Amino acid sequence: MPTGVHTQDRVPDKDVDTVVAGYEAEGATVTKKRNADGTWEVMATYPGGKSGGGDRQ
Amino acid sequence: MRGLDGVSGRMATSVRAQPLVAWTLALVAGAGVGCSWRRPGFPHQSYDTKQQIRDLEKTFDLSQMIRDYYDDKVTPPERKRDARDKLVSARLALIDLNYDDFVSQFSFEKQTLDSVSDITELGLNLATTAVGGASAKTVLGAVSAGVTGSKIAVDKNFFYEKTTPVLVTTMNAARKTVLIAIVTGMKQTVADYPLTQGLSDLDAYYFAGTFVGALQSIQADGGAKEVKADETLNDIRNTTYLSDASGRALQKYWMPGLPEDKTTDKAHQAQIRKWMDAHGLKDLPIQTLVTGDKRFANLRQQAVEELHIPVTP
Repeated sequence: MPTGVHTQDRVPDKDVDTVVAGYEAEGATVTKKRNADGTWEVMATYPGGKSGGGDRQ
Repeated sequence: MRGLDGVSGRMATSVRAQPLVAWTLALVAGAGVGCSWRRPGFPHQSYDTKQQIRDLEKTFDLSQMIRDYYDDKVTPPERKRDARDKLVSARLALIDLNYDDFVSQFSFEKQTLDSVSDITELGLNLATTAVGGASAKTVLGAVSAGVTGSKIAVDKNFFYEKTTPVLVTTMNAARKTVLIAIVTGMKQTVADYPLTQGLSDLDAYYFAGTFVGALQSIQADGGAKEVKADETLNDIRNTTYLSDASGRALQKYWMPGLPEDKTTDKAHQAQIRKWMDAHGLKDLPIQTLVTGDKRFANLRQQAVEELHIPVTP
C-alpha cells in the first residue's frame, strides 16, 4: 500500500473529482488547490512513510 | 584395567583398542600443536616482516622527525618539502607492513584452526571406526562432536564467519582511496599540502585498514544508497496529470460508473493493486498510475494488456 504524500498537478477541472476519488479509494486524505490557469493540484496523504516533498514535475 | 565405560564385558575390546586410539590421537595432537609450516596461501617472503618493522621504527624516529620538521634551523624552508615526503613515506611503509602482517596473520589463524580441527576430527573418526566397543565409539564420537562444535563456536564468535573476506576487501578498497589523496598531496608544495594534512591523511589511511573503519565504510555506503533510493522514490511521488487511452481504460475498469458515479469496483481495485505490487509499484497509488505523467504511460499500457482490459481509442 502507498504511504506518505503523493501529489498530482495540472489536473483539469472536469477530472479533479475523479482523481480525488481515486486517491481516497486507497485510504488517502486528499486536499486540492486551484492553480492560476484553472487546473488543480491534488495532494494525497497516506498513513505512514515519508513525505514526497513539494517539488513539482 | 577398566574399559572406557567401566563395563567388564567390553574390557577386552577397549584394552586392545587403546594403543591404536592413543597413537592416532597423539598423531593428530602433534599435527595441531607446536607444528610450524608455511602459512597456507602465502608464498615465502624474502624478508622478516616483524624485523623490518623494528628496523624502520629505529631508523625513522617519527616524533623526532616531526620536531625537526618544524625547527627551521634543522629544516630550513627550502628543505621542508623533502622532509615532509620522507616522513610521510616512512609512516606509509610502517602502516603497510603492519597491515599486511595483521591481515595475513588473521587468515593464517583461521586456516590453521580449520586444518587442525579437520585433522583432529578425522583422527577421532578413524579411531572411532577402529575400536570395537560401542561405549568407546560413543565416547570418541562425543569427543569428535565436541571438536566440531568447538570449531563452529570459535568460527561464530571470533572469525565473523563469512564477513571476514568482506571486511578485508573493504579495508583494501578504502586504503587505496586514502592513498590516492596522500600520493596526490606529496606532489604538491608544502603550502598546498602541509605536513599537518599529511599526518591527518596518514591517520585516515591507518583507520581505513581496521575492522571498525571497514564496518563504518560499509554502513556509509549503505546509507548513501538509501539516500539515493529515497531521492528516486520522492521523484515518483510528484507527478502531473496526463490522460491517455490506457489510463482511461484503467480508470473505467476501476470506476465502472463514471462519469457520474465515482464508486470503485473493489474486486477490480484489488486486481490492479495486486498487479502493481507484483511489478514493484507497491508504494505507488493506483490513481498515479492511471493519470500520472508520461513516465507511467508504458506501465499503464502493460497493465491493460496483462489484465486483459479492453481499450477504447
